Amino acid sequence: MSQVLIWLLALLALYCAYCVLWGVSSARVQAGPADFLLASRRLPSWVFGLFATGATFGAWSLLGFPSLVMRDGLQFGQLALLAVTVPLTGVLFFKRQWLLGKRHGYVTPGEMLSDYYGGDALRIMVIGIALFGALPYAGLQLAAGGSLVQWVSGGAIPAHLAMWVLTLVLMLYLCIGGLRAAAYVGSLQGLLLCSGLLALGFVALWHLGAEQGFDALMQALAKLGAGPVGPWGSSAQNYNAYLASPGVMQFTSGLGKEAPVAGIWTAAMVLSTCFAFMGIQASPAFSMLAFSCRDAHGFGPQQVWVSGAGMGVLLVFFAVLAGLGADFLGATAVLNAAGLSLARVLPELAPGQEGQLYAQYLLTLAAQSPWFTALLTVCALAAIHAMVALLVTTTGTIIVRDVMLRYMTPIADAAQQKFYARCAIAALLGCALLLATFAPNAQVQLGALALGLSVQLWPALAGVCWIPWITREGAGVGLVAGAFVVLITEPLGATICQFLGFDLPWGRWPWTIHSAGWGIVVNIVFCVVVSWISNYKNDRAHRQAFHRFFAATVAMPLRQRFLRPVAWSLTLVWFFFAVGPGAILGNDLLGAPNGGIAAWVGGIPSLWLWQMIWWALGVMVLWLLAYPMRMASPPGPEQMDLIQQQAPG
Amino acid sequence: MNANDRKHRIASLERRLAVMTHWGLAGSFGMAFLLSGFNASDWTCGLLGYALLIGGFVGHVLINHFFDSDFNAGEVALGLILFGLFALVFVATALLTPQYSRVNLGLGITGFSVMALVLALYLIIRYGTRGTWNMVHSLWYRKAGK
Repeated sequence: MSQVLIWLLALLALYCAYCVLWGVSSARVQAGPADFLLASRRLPSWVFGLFATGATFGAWSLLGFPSLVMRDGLQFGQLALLAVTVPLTGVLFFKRQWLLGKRHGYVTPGEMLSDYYGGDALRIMVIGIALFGALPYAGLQLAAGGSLVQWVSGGAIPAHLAMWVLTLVLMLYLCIGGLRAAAYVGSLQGLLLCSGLLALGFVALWHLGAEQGFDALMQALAKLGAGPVGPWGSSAQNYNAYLASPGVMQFTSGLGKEAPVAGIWTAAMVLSTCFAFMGIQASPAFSMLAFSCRDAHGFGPQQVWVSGAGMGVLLVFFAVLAGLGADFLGATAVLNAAGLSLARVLPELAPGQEGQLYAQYLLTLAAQSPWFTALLTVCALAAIHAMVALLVTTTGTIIVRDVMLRYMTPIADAAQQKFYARCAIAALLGCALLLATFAPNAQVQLGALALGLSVQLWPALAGVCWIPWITREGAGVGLVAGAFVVLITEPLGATICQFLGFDLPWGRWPWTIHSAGWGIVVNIVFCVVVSWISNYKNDRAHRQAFHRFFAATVAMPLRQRFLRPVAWSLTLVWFFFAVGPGAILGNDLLGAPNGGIAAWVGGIPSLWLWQMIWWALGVMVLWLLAYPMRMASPPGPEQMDLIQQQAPG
Repeated sequence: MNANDRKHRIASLERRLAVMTHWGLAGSFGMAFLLSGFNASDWTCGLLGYALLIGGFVGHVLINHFFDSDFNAGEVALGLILFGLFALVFVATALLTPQYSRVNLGLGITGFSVMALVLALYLIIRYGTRGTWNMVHSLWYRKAGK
């Protein structure tokens, strides 16, 4: 038995014991279904901050992001700015959802939307979106965890065995402790995720040559930039596409039908992918996490400092460094053949094997520090568990509240509700496992829809929190239209059409726009038009009551309202230049990619420096929205008194 | 369990969670760096490990301050046992390993001295010189059954 395997088993056993311990400890303070389903709305702000970060960024930032930077270069690195765009959803919606939860006692977003808009259509759509998140998307994460253990253990632990055992542990502590256990364990999982990313960057730097490693990497990038070597060749501006964005948009038929020139990560693709990831915090799971908070003190710090600043620095610097570094450490065959690699520390990863990058980095430590290999494996598994735990517990609750209590057993007592929730969690994890084991291809196709569908809740949530003008019909029709468009711009839509006997004229993500982008545009158009047609006066009065409550409790004072146009203008400018069409200015504004280090401002490729600058500005924009605009700052004592007076019970 | 009891138990649980979460990170990475330091006879790694462990201790003190509490008996016992155990392992390894690396010897002595110093400093800052002395003195008397 290798040393890595021994350490891995030991640390996994410790981690599993920790999870079960907190499951049991949480169960000991449970006092009814409200505690199991929503932690009695008493989650402390620091637990929320860590858990939300772990669940938002999950394993994708550890296992997926560096791998894709390695494959696609800095054009993909632009997505490090997700650290700013993702919490923006939280800034907009968390505080107001939390307020409504306090006032009306909502447990699920379905209850909130149903109460606000009236009718059950939106409630049913929320259930569907939650199921897409909890089943295929969670299954994808669990499968990635199993594969990671298999790679790190050198095949000694088969992927399916690891996936099943780790999921059983997850099931155990979630079924025992509910959302409280998920959040309590999630606080360590969030920290482990951040540590894993930090460590990955340092490992890459160490292999590149410790103190001189960064300079060596820049020199290697300069050599690469001088010619067209790389997977994507040259861009339209005649720059190496590894170091430059391939344009604002390419009018291609979509992946599978027509390949884009010089890479897929055009400005339109980056922006629409940002929309997709903004769906994470618009998902039903995060609405419920907001409901479960004791107070609103955690929202601002989590969104601005932990996500925007903390995760931003980890993604923009360390994860990009690990991805770029891997190319010059032997992982990319093309660069090895061109004699551009600095060392041969990593094995060559063929196309499709990029997902192994994290494991391969860890294995470079195996000979000298097997405990680090094992510890960093546990970091990634913890990050996976954080996201899956949130998705599954909240979907379990949605099934109990919005399906069982609403339609099947409305008089279920406390014990029955808890029992149903436990059964739902076990069933969801069981189905996700079966899907991952026996139908991985279907899981990939279904999982691809999860983010695109979640972001379709944006207009409905905007209606509840900000825009009384949006009607039930507008929100509902928009959501259905958006979800349909997401479906037909993903492989599953093409598969369904083939099954029905015809072919779609486009492939995946036509015009280099992510399905979430297509969906949200169509959604907004339908939402606005239908809301305009269906704006009945009596419905408006009902909705307006919610907004009067906001006006009384969390609205900006008159003397600060001049900030509104300033803040929103800055936000739009940020989107335009950071992740929108203006981002292509970053290709050569700070030095042409083929100009060498001497031409680069600060000795760093222009696009990377551009990303760093806009990340810093993005944190400022987030801060402006969260605090001076009061969108994520806690209400004052007077407002809290008013909220308490209006709260039920 | 009435509402007050429950509130108290949840508060105590949250403190324990903060402590375990904090040590889960500082302890695991601290120990990993320490092991790497001794394994490769590398001062930087070893000292980084000690720094993380001391950071863990300082963080624990801050958590105590935040939750308006003190180290409980279990935490003190666990801390002393682990410290003693590691010291014993270090001494035994140093004595029983022929040609024990001088870097490792230096690392061990430096680390354990610094940790003991930090503990003494904490006690003096928290309880004062006389208070610390009285505490140790009374413990010694209690153990001796006097």
